[in-house]
Amino acid sequence: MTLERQDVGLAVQGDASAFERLYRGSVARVHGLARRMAGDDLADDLTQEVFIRAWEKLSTFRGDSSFNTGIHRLAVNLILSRRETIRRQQRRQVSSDGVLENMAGRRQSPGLSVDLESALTNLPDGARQVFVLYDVEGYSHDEIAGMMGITSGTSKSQLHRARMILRTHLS
Amino acid sequence: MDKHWTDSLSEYLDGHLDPAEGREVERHLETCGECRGVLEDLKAVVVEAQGLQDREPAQDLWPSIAAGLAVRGVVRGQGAGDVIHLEEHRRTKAPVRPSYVRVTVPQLAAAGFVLTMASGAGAWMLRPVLDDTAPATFASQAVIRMASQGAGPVSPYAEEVAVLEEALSRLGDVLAPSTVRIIQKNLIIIDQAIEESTEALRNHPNDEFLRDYLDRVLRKKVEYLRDTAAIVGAEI
Repeated sequence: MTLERQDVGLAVQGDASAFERLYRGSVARVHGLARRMAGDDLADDLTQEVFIRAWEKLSTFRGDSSFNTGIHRLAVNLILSRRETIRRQQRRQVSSDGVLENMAGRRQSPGLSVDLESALTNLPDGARQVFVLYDVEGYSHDEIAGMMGITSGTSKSQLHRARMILRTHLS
Repeated sequence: MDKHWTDSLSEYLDGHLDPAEGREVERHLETCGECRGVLEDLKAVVVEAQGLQDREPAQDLWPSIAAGLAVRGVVRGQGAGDVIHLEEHRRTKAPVRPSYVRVTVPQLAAAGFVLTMASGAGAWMLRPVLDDTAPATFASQAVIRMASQGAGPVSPYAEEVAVLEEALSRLGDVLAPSTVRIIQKNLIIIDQAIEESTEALRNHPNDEFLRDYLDRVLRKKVEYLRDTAAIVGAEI
């Protein structure tokens, strides 16, 4: 039995230390997903909520899939279920369309390294979420369509939109 | 650059076009340098995305998560007997809140508040005794006062309380001042209850209710200190 599986078993029995070890082993990936999908400002809150939900659903992580796989899927579903809240929050921060028009028309100088992570935060919500799920996380268009409640065709066009905007930010 | 062609480039890159469409795009690419440039850019974006590295959050989120679990009554204390089984928690837990979990200082405060109210006499304890500007120390005012008044330590938990307070005091410079103030406020409230019930017992030494009540408050204090020490990672 792997250490991870042992810790899941202990955590199911109420052992917070075991759950902390599981947290330490998976927080970077969950936080990275939250940061890319929802932005820096919401990433901490979402990550905390994912792990509290995970604690409540620990027994479902005892099957064949690893804790990491299970919590990643839980994180994706939770973040997607918060899309409206995320959208409202981001609307308060920036007028994203205006920023995007600026971004799209601005070609970076050769040799200037631009952080793709930063560029992601300025993408429209749908395009960013599809891009992260497809190009970063490796989900298929059919899976993304199912999770987001859109068609596979919409997922493809959102992906292309995101890539076309991001290409202007690569040196 | 023809939008019709560029719109097909991502699907071409991902191998999602049917063979006939793919051959059509390839024929176009042979003659259009601009589209070849776009395709190279798109490939670079994909490579970049696949190489993104995960990194830890800027601040450790575990204390907040542990506090969130403590508020829900599921984090065990120091002793094995304190384990609250998850199944029991699931049967009794409140519905998950629809909004974001904010489990930082306010939840520590909430945990302390609930704890105090649970002792059965929270309302009369909540008097204006709190001082936001007080120094960052966890010393138990009630114990100090009782000792200085010659009342002697009445708590069977006095030794453990002293150890826990000492452990928390060592973190006084590490924890955020707002966190220290919250912990301190809760301890002051609990200490106030201890002090007042001690005084009442002094006047009515045969009152079983008061004796039982004081014991419960003292027990609550040591439980609060244990939980707080676990949440903030104090070394005992």
